[in-house]
Amino acid sequence: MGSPIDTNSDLREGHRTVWDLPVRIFHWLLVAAFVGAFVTNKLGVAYFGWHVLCGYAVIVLVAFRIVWGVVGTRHALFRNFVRGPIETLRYAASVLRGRPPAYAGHNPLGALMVVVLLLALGVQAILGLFGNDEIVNVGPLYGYVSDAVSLRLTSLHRHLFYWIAAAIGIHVAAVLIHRVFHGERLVKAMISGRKPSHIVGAHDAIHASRSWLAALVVVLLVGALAWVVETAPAAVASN
Amino acid sequence: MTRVIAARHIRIGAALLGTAVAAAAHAQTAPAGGPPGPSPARQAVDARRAAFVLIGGNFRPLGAILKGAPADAADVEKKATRLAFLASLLDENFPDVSNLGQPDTKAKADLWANRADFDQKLKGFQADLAALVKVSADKGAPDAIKAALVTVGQDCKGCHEKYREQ
Repeated sequence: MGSPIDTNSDLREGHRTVWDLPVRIFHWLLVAAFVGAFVTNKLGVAYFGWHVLCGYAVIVLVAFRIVWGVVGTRHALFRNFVRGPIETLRYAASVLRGRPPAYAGHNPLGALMVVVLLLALGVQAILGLFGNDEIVNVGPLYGYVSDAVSLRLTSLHRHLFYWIAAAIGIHVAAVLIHRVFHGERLVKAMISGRKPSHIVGAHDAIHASRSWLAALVVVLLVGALAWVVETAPAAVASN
Repeated sequence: MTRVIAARHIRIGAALLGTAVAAAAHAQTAPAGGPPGPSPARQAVDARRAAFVLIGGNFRPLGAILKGAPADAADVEKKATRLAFLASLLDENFPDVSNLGQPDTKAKADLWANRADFDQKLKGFQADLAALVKVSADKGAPDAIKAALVTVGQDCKGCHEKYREQ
């Protein structure tokens, strides 16, 4: 590992699939939804409808990933990548020594980031449903809470953004560190689903994406969210 | 004609505002032994709050137009005329003494630290409201009315994000 040959390894060694298609689509759609939510907020009050749509997308995507963490393929399963504090600390120490082992799926710190980002983005999007911008827009579930509660939740929604942005910054920095110092092309792996065979043993590869199951889960989640939004009391803003 | 209607709206606006200020002033008691009535800082906070309550109440119904509802020019003109009047009340209601911090006011100390910028934003808000009054009084195209509304909404958002506790 870490020899110059590794950087050209694509040319000379085989690859094996670790990320199923649903996980990869999930990841990049989540990126798009988060960026979209940010941009539509910056564009202003007239783009609120698009901002809400981005929030719906985040909710469906995060809920899908949680379900997929239980019924998905090998490396998507929480039980196969979420690690306890001791193993995570041991891995962190190996990173500091500059020689972290490569994992077929998520490494323990990456796993921690997956959990943190899923929770934070899910909470963020749900907070937004109850929001009130105190100008003209209210979230689709505003009618369920008092205005005082809505303003508290909106305040949390505004502040949590900065924590999420910081977590995403760390996430991207970590991926770059793996690329620059350890020659691991994690972005490419999250696009193609494949990692070099010296990292992924034959028994670690996945052989099917179960995309039909993923599609069914997404359809059910979209239906559930639509039902929640449609049955909410009318969101009439007040002072 | 427009002027007469505008004047009537202003009188209605003033009456509404008077009621709101009176209610706010009634809710507090003067400190024992102090001068009667609220302090200048309190008065300013109460007055701007009352103005913002009425600004919100008159702007929010127009939000439907931002979401694609047809613009009724006469209704927009009516509310925009009130809003222009209400916004003019903000001029003198952010005096230095009213930089009280939370929980007395959601106005951030940054507002007074960047006074020139705040004043410029307030002027912009008032100018954009004047433009909204004009385009709706002239029975402008729905898109022009909507664009003027969006500009005003952006003024709200821009100033809130910078100078209001979130």
